[in-house]
Amino acid sequence: MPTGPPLVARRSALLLSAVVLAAAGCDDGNSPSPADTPTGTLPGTSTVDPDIALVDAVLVDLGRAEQVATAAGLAELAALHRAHIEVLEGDPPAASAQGRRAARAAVRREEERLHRQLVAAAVAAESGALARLLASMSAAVSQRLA
Amino acid sequence: MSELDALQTTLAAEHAAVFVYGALGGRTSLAANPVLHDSVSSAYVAHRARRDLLTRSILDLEAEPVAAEAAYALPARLDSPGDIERAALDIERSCASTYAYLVAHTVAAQRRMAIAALNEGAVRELAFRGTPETFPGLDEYTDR
Repeated sequence: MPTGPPLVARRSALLLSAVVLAAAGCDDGNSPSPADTPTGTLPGTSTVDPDIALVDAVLVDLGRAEQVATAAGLAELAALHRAHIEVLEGDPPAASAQGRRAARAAVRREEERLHRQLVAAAVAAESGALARLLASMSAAVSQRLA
Repeated sequence: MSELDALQTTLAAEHAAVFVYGALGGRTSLAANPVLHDSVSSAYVAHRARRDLLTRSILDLEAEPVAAEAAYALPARLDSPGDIERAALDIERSCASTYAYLVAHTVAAQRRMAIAALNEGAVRELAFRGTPETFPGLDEYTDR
């Protein structure tokens, strides 16, 4: 069985790679000075790794799915999403106060939506390692939907 | 590792899966165990379709698809429904790892195909007494 490439999908690694890109070479002398750039952006980072935004969007989806599962009392499903969040190094979402019955009705809809988002993110990922991770997450959700 | 190499590796895995599922089908009784027979038959059809799709994808790249081996090693014991289920589960997990690998080495339509195959295989595992996993196809996370 082939071994996959090293996993470099963690958000910190993506952020680091973006900073390295910015520091390594992208200053051609025509880049705007820091004073000219909007607050919170680095000079020369117009090509910041799009996977950072992708991972952030996936973390939002995972956090919402975890909330819905928790509110429905589906601890195993919530734990799955928590494990996925931790691998992507996300922050824990706030607890939800929804009623359990109403929340359970929303779980399947939420899981289907999350599945679509994970597949789309896996297709869109620039990093093959990140794509592999997101595809695996989508497969884990498929197993719960089956 | 090129996309073509990854496609060839995956095709080789599907050749093996089709062979082993064919053997499992011959050892599964429709009368005695219709549910298992149906699961094995469905899996055989699914893997054959994936094999054919991969073959076409490689031909589209103007390459020669890797050929199947004359035979593949079968599990030592295939005497009971449990043996059949374990063998089928092994195939599905192995193919899931291979498709996850293919995801990492492809883009666009080929990657979408690999993701779909990974998802389908992960669900098929459940028919063979597989339990839901946290990271299907990712061997480095099997302890999670």
